[in-house]
Amino acid sequence: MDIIIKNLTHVYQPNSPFERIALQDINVSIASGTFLTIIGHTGSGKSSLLQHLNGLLKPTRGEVIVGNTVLASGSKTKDLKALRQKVGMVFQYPEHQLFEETVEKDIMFGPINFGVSTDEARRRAHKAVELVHLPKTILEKSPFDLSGGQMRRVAIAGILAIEPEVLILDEPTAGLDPRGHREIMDLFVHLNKREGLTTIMVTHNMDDAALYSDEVMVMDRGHLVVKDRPEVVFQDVDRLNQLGLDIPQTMRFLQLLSAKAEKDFVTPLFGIDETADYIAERLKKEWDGV
Amino acid sequence: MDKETIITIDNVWFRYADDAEDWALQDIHLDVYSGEWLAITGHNGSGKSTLAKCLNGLLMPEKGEIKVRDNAITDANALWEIRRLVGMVFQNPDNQFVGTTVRDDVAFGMENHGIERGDMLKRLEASLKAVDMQEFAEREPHRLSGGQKQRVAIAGIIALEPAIVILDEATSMLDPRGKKDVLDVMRRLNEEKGITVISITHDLEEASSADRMVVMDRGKVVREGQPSHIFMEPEGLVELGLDLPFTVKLRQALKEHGHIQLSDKAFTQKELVDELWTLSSKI
Ligand SMILES: Nc1ncnc2c1ncn2[C@@H]1O[C@H](COP(=O)(O)OP(=O)(O)OP(=O)(O)O)[C@@H](O)[C@H]1O
Ligand SMILES: Nc1ncnc2c1ncn2[C@@H]1O[C@H](COP(=O)(O)OP(=O)(O)OP(=O)(O)O)[C@@H](O)[C@H]1O
Ligand SMILES: [Mg+2]
Ligand SMILES: [Mg+2]
Repeated sequence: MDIIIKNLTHVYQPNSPFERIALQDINVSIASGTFLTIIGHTGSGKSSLLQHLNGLLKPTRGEVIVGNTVLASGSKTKDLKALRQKVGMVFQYPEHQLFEETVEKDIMFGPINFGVSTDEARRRAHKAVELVHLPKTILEKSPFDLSGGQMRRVAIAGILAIEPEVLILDEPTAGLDPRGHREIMDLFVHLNKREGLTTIMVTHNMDDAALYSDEVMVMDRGHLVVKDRPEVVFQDVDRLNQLGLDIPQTMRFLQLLSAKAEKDFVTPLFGIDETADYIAERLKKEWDGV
Repeated sequence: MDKETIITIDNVWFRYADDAEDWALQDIHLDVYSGEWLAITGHNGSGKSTLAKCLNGLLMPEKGEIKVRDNAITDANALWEIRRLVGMVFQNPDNQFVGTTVRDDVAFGMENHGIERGDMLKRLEASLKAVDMQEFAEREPHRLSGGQKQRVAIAGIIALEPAIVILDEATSMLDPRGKKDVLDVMRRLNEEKGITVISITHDLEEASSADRMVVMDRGKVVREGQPSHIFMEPEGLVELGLDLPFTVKLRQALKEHGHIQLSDKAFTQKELVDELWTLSSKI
């Protein structure tokens, strides 16, 4: 499903003393099947933007077009439910989307709500729990009697069980242990590459943004600064620093090495093995006096 | 560092229901030293937050004893003193807000601690400034972005200057600069005011820079020591839900190349750069 955002502006509490412009004249198009990552400092408008994609927030001005659905200010959107079946969103704080008595019921709620049979919903719930690496025993627990990372995984499982076409992920790995972080990122990449899910992820982890995305979009105080391939976005080190952001660890290491060597070794490389290969090769050249 | 103990945890067992088979904490023995920066890490559900809540008496162990500067948490009369000594930033800041504005929220904690008004206003300003939230003083906490909420929760604790600060993944939703700023502020409080910091984190780079580190696994403390020592023995860390820090992984990848002969010593990025450079100058 293609997503097109046209002249989107969002104002919180308009015409009050607390009026706040969260998004200002955003224009983006996201082709079906893309893995897009959004980065930006605290309060830059990332979550506000995501919430427009499944109709949780309405544009103050402009419009958002998701597949055949048009979300615009003023007009009532008809098929909000159909939209939410196709566009699944994992919230920044998982507590905000858990509510049932048990984990199993919580995960089954989405599919049932969209007309799936109870048996099928249960089958999906069990499969989803496995995908997020939780033990089966958790199904009988209350979603509120869980640790932070366990809640996060249940929230993700609940969205996967809906089998959406578009995944909207608001800092989905915050609170996951390092192994869980890797496993869940691998899962998202798999869903994107193998099953073609369009994926839009907000993260503060520059390594993930660089490694997994087709495109990275940078936001600053409600504005879109740039949207391009990671190799391009992470090349502009100064701009990223100005915006309170950073480069991936691999590049930070190359920066340190460059400073020591008084040479410029910095280049957009994101994987540890590639970076090691590159350093080995560059050092060899240095030593051979090339 | 002189090792004056500020918290003792002795043989502590905790479970969420009296008849539960699983213990969230099992036989925990741990001393926390005054003025140290202690990182606690471990897989999801390993018991980190549960332990943190026991340290300020929010949860009561079923067995064992916890003392904060000689105040036992089982002593109802000491509880108030313990809460004054131990400030905690929760994993989800929504659970922590009480005020209707950011200013009220930060002030509320100070009023509770009997901080006198003149001092309070100074601290209010300084703590909001420390987390870069001065402009948000009149806003409603629940109408902030995720990271802004975390900043306000942190300001609320900084303002109190408790002897011990527990950060339960308190920077997990901050942008890279915000995270660095907050950790710098905490480090300054740690170094200049001798505040003890217990930081629960999944960020191995952050844990690496702690004085000491504890790894939990299914309710137990399974490793304890200097981060460089813990990561020196990588076996089993992945099974514990962890991973190796970036420098260690890069060092291992570099050693795959025959001509790069590195020791196992480099632990920080800077140390690894230095070693690579020494290697170059010897050629
Ligand atoms: N309120 C509760 N009621 C019942 N069980 C709970 C409750 N809170 C946590 N648990 C369980 O206790 C165990 C320890 O949870 P705890 O929150 O301490 O883990 P944690 O190490 O902080 O994990 P995370 O990294 O995910 O935050 C987990 O198995 C969890 O499911
Ligand atoms: N419900 C709300 N009412 C009023 N203002 C809000 C509300 N939610 C967010 N804002 C404001 O809108 C701006 C954008 O917030 P948003 O949550 O989109 O930021 P974000 O980029 O997701 O930040 P973070 O990285 O901290 O999660 C912020 O200045 C925030 O204070
Ligand atoms: Mg957000
Ligand atoms: Mg926890």
